[in-house]
Amino acid sequence: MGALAFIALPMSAQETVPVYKNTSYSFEERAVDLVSRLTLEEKQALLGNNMAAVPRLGIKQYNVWSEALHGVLAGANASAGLQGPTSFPGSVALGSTWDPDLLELEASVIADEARAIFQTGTKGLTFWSPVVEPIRDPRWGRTGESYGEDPFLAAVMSSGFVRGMMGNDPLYIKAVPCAKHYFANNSEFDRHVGSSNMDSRDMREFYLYPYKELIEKDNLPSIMSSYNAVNHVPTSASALYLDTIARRTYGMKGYVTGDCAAIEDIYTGHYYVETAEEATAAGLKAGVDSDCGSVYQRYALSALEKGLITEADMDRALVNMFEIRMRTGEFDPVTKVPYNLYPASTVNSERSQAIALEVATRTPVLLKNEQVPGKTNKALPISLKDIKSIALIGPQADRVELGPYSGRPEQSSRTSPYAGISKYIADKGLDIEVTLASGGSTKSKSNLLYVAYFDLEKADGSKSHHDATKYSSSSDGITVGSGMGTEEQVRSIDDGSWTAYENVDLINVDKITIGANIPTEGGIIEVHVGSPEGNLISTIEATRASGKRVGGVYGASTPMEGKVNRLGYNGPQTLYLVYKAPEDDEIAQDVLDAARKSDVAIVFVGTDENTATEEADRLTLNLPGNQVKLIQAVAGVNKNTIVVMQTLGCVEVEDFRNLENIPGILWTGYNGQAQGAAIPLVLFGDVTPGGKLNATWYRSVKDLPPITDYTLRAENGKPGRTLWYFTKPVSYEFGYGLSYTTFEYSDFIISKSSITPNDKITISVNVKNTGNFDGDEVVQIYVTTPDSPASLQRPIKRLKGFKRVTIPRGQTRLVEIEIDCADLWFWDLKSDRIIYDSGRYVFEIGSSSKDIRGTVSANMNGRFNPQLKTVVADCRVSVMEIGQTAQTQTSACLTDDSFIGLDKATVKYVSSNPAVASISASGLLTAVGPGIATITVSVTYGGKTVSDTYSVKVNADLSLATLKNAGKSLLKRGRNQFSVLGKGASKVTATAKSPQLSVNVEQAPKVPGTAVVTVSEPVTGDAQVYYVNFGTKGVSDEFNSNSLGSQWNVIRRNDDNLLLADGRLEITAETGDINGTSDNAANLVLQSANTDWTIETKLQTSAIPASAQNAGLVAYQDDSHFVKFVYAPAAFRRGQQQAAAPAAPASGNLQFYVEENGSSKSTVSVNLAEAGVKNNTICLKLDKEGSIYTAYYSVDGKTWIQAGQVEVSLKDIQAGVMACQGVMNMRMGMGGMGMRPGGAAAAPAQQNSAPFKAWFDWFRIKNR
Amino acid sequence: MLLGLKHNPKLFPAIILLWWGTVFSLYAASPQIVDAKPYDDGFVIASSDGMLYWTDIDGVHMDSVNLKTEIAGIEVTDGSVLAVSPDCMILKVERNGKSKRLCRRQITNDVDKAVGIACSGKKTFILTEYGTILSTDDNCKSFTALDFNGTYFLYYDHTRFRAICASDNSIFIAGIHDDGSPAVFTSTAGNIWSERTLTYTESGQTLSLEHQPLSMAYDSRMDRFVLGCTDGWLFYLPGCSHCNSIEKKSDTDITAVAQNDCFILCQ
Repeated sequence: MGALAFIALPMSAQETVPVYKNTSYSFEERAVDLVSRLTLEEKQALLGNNMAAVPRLGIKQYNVWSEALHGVLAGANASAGLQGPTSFPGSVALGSTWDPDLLELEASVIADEARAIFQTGTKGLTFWSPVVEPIRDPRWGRTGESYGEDPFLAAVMSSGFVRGMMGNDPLYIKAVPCAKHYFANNSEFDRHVGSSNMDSRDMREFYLYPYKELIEKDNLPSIMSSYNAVNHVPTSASALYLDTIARRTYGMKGYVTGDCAAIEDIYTGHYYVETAEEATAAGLKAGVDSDCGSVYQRYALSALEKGLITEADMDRALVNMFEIRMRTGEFDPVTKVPYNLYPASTVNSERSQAIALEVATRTPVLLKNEQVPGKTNKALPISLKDIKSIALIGPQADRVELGPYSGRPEQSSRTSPYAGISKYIADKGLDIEVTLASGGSTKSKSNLLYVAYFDLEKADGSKSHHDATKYSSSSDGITVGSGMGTEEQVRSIDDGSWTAYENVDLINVDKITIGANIPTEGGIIEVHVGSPEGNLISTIEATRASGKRVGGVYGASTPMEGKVNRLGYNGPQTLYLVYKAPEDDEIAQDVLDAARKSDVAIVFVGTDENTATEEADRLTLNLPGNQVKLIQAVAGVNKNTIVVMQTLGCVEVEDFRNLENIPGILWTGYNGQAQGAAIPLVLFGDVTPGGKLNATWYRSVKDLPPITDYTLRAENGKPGRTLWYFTKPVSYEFGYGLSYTTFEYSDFIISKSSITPNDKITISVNVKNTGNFDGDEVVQIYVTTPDSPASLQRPIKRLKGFKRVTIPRGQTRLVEIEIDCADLWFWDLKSDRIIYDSGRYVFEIGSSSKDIRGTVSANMNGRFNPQLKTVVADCRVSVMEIGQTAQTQTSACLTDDSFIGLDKATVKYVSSNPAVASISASGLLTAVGPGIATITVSVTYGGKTVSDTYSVKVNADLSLATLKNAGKSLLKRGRNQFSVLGKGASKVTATAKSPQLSVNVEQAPKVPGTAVVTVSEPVTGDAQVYYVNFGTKGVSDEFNSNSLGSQWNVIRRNDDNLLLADGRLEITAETGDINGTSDNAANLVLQSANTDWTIETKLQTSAIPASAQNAGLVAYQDDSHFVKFVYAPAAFRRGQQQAAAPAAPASGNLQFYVEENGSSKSTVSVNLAEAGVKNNTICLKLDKEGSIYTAYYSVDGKTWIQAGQVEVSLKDIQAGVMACQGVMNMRMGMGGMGMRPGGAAAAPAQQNSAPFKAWFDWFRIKNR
Repeated sequence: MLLGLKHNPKLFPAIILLWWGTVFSLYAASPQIVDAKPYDDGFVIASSDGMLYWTDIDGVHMDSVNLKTEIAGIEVTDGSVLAVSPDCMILKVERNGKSKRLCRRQITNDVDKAVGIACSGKKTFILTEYGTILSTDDNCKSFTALDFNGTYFLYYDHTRFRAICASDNSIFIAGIHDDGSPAVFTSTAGNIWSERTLTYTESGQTLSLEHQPLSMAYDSRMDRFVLGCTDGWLFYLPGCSHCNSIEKKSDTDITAVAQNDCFILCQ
């Protein structure tokens, strides 16, 4: 049976704008309305990032996933008229600007480009940027995506990004940022399976701090739940982390997406639950609204069937998602949305390029600037008038490294240092020789290989298979994991790592095949026996350089073979796989020659996307490849060696930073497409570098705790983390950065000497530029609490304020920095809330975290009277039926991030429309009538009132209370189509069950005719249409006369092909059909049949229908609304081999076809192969009961077999017979408009040469 | 066990490439292999001339059946092979050679043709080149039809389809848009379809699949779908919707691909 939606809205109902398209409603109300209209299957299909199109509601397909960390992640799209988006400096570079306003500008331009791209329909407006997690450990593979080590810096910089992306329209969001990865996702190798364990103090003060700030201060509209668990609970399955903390404590309004496959990780990585359905329930109930993966979209309905979730859980997630989509203006008139005016030319426009360059000049950090040996001048800026030659050396000298999640502009928009410097010198008309000698490499020595298995093959061909992850012992640091895949692999393989396997039979083994993946550059696998240094029996070069397949960090293993030297082993042995990095290349002599002969040698070194990335942390902090050797070698031949590093973050520099011949070191993060254009401006003094390190540069990776240790404070010999707790000497401290000029600090003033958490204070200082260059200084304020008990292990210092200022040489500027004392909180482990230590708070004012120029202090009165901050109310249901009740659930959170019981507060509930939903004094919501209502819940505590709202849709009961004709009730349960037989009065009266609904009756103009009754809910636009068909008794015809009786009406009559003879009606089929757009079939022999009835005919055709030929019964409203039950072809087509097919009698099909509004709504097909059809003769019967049509067939006229049942509402119905040749009627090419490529709307099918005739022995109709 | 392909060109009339991470053998002939599916511990392979070949896991030929009709695609369900011809004749075939015609479903014109058949849960789906998706849940007694391109007119670009594949709870259909770009859509029940992003990351860059899909397999080991594409490329579609990856396997179009512990690729 093909069940059909039957409603066809009359114009009056169609004209009512549904709430979800009505801009006078709130976005939440509109989202609730939209979700209320979705079917369950549609809801499931919308729960992932690839949100399906729902044409019937005008919902376009939408990919929630886009990235824009430092430019919209996309390349050029010529067909859409788009250049590659601009690549701006990346996060680690931006974090080093210490300039949130600059970042806001960059993000604003990114959002402009995003809007221009959105206009072309190629991308959405939801971007999974920025990364707001603080840099806990520099080995983290995504260090380059973070703004900094101190959560305050990360939060302030992220805030700039969020503001820039969102724009400043009060109603619409320009582009939707998403802060990620919530939270404590700071190690890549184990992110799918690991647990970041910590106490709630580290959690709140460090890991959650940026989220709290962004949600509370910037109305952050989205977060991404991470892969990892925190304290053994996957964040994507934690109601505590997502609902209690993010939504109910911080007050997030928006959507939560799971990281890609994070929902899957709940059961396949963390084994937190056992099944996909349980993972779906865990994620949805925790608050993950959208699954970037496919678990929700595959398992939500089965989870619903199993009772693990409710439809309301799905609704709530979809409301959150659609509300955000609506806030972009997607569902609003184009002219109403202020961001709809960006043309495609916005992308990588001159303005974008200029801003990319401007930002790139403000990111560099000057790490060292000393006198050139034997000279009086400092190394930087390079005085071009004093030199005749420059050597540009190093693997990065002529490369543009953009970094991850960047725009991908055309090559012509990317400038390498070599190109930029050459152009700069040429533009200045200087006679300086620029020599490029790239030299060196950035080949990663971290994560050499992922190894899954090894197979040993003996001389006789027998093999043994060994799981490489089941090693008996290994070197330190080895891990096992599968990352995004499912293949378990030995990972974290460093130079010199090994894994051992006991009891391996090596007798007569000739060959070893190792299943390994090369994530970046690869390595050498040596097979030893007995120990890592034991006898070497095989060596496999598993490197990119050797031509082996590089699978990347997501890749699976590839077999790599090696010959085995037998060495006569005759018993079980312990096999060692020893992994080694390929030997470094020697530094080429021509590189050194270039350095030697030049006045200045600039060595461009750095990291790239192979050094560390998603899934792969750094195992070392060394510059990859042979770059340190290169730096040392160049410095060995040139006393004026400048090192320019562009890296993802901290690298170890102790091996070269103090070399005398390296008087200058400059560092940037990935600096965008203009990196090469910016660098000469800095090197040659057009711009004074003013950046400061956004993270500590540790001397050695050995100084760090294990990367899996997420605790911050030092304990039991383990060093603490970050500037807050790390006490060992470092290469460069957090906030460090030199300038070409110097700054003198004086006049340190604090506005208050006694403070409370409710105060805002201003700290001011005069900063004088005492050098010879204009320049930028970043004034930094660190807070210490020396009076706090030592047992509390308060941080050594925390960043709590900063300001970047530009000061011309010789001038002084008063720098005022405001500090909100509420931000000086600590998290109290005992009371699980924010507290403030009493006593002195010392504010260190300086140029870095160690270069403190002065201090001021204030005494904190730690007594804190927290105020009401966040109220969240909902009733867990978005769509209700009349009479349904739901209890409002309200939480109230104070400014100390603790919750109060509502019994201590005053709570008021107000419904925006009590006629739709009433609310009691206790918050019990009752659905009263159809429509949309918003409930406002106001909580008053301590004299402060905070409110929240939630919206519900109450579905209208669109059923009729009465439907009468001539005083008689026509209503029948479950019916929406009614029939009245006879020539009596046709006037209809009707009332709706719900008095709020409007009822419109369009009376039948005559009999036969149809009255149309429309019940509509005027507010939401919901409507239900009922047909009352008035008809007269049908007239059967045995077709024994010579002409058609008066009851018949022939559509597109052609008497040439219509014949009554031999007691039968003969129709010779003509080209045409009524399917789809081919509304041209001739000789539809019809009579009025506008009631319920059964019609029947005996049909014989001249041949088995071929191609598209068909003949049979039809119930017909018009060419776009009908039910057809026809003997149809077996449609053999080109190349058919019917004769060779398995034995089956020649036959046709029965096709039960329904068309509504010109579109095929259902097709039921019955194979007649086994039916025993003889002489192409078959009896057909069609029964109509209301809107239900049931088809039967019989080969003997006695035994009837049901062919199918369909539901469709037709009016002004005629019934009869038809025969036609049929036409091709598919949507092919030409945009699916029923047009063939050649332009014809429809073309005849291939036909047999003999005319296709259909003979109808009778047409019998029995009315009811 | 990992063994080389034992191949009899007389029985395998097309190029077959058996792969367990590497290429073991390569043979050339015609007519074309159009589909392959896992079957017990091996595979069943269909060629366009109506031959079905059963192999073991190493590609060693075991049995064959001549259906004497052109085949567009096959599916394995309950130990039987369902084969669909281009004109939508559906045959149920047993390994012992017995076959039964379930039905021949009319397609509304003779330009369109079936391109594949797949089973998901209790439903069987037949996909035609121009986007009719026929589904049956009563052993092919009756069908419902979804006109994909008509339903999604103005919502998804018009698509000509090449392949269909299904797991227990996902159906994937693949083809090309009018501009020749590849397209993949997914559904759970066959009624609501989402377009799948076909981007992948390589050396840090996000790229789009440019090769046209010709065939598709479900990799049950890794719960992912795999597109066999022109010019010998495989494109992997895991659950994570933007974690796609690509791999070059040969220089020749991959007209059929199947996974059963190892992969079999047909050209």
